[in-house]
Amino acid sequence: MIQSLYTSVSGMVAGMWQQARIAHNLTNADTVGYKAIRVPLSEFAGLLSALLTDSDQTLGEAGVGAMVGSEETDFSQGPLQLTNRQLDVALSGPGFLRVMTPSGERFTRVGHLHRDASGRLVTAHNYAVLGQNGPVELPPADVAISPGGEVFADGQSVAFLALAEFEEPELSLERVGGTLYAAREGTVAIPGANTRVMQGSLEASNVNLASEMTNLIATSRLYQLCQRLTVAQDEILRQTSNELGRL
Amino acid sequence: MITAIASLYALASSGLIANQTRLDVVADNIANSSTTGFKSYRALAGEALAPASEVANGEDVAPYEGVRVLDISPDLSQGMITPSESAWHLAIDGPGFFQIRLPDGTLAYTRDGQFQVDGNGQLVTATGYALDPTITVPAQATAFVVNADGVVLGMFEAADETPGQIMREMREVGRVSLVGFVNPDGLHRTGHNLLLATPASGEALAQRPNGERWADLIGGATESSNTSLVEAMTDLVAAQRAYALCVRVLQTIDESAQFANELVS
Repeated sequence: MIQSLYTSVSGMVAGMWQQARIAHNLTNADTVGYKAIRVPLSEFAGLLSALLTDSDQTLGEAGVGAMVGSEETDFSQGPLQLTNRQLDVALSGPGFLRVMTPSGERFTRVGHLHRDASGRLVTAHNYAVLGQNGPVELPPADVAISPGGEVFADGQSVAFLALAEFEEPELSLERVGGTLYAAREGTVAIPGANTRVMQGSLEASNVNLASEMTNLIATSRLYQLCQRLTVAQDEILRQTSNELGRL
Repeated sequence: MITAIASLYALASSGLIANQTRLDVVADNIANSSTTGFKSYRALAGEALAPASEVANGEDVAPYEGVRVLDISPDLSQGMITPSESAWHLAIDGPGFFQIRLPDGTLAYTRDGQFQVDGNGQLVTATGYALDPTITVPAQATAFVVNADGVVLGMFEAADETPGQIMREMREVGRVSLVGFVNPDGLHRTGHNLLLATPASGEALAQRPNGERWADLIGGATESSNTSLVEAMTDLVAAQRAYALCVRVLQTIDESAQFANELVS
């Protein structure tokens, strides 16, 4: 009996996490190079029914660990937006730019780049963008970047952007925030042969507003349902303990 | 559960804060759409970066912190060059900035070339700050021309040997030098249409690394603001919609929090 109380409360906890993911997607609906976190509604509904029918669970354990822990990213292409800025590059295709952060190599599709005071090509977070021969150095000149990733300064070839692709990005990469991804252990990046670099553009967020908004409302209703279940079970428990005991 | 809800409020409000900044930037662009030499700015939204400690520890923590303003950077594209009535109005055609000496001695940079001659005969900006290096305009000269390379020529008149004839002569009276930066995006905006150098922008450079000058000067003209009103209006609508969306997210989360509270009523 008390088990079911925990079940509906754990449904509320899962619902909260689900709302956090959807809210994170929605606030990033206009974020450059953002890749949506997948929030399949069926997962939540399935979890809920599993929780409600599974009576073998340990008492007091909110069995939402699997749901809360797993996270999938939707790596589909976002729309390209024209900015006409020389150091804006959008990637068309499955690849990533390689950048060097203080905690190691990371991958990103945010191509809003700068030239820092020492002439290195850096991201907006000031991480060096890697070329095929290490960090890209750019003299202050007119920059042209070919679709293949070759960087020209005043017509002189100065570097080749190092693009990385992954066979299965969903499995190979993990989100570390700031639209950066880290390669999981044991995965190897392959040179980006199927990716084109579009200078003067940025890739917009791939969040689907309509489905995220629907998910948010639906999750909020499921959350309310779990709350009602909790209240109802509490009421039954109250009656069991108070009124049955009175006989 | 309580902390989860509290962080959800922070998540939704991160969207309100970021979009408020985007709105501020668009409003600033529109307000400066007729400011000489103004470069419009663009605020880009970026996913909030996970706290550095967590990333550094290599933990699998990927918290949901919403959105931040990634970067506010200028659009340094050329503004339209429009003829002006004063010969002292200068427009820069290409990258580069005028160097201005502020009263407190620091150097500032601008593309607003509406210069005038002050009481001491010095070339100063519309707000009265002197060009650096200073150019003193000789009072005897009758007309001036500024060449593309910045050389200021004054016309001097002298009585010719032949009586009744006046000899006219053009002589160099100074040189307007332009400076550039390795990373002009990193310049810091201050008041009066002026920019300051920062560690991010690097020091002002007198010429390009290949020895060429940064840009051509056009005398008797000014550079218009490069704000595109159509683009600004589009950005305004986009930022407003994004803001409204985040309000909706906040409301939904608040409803959930209300239900959580009712558990204990």
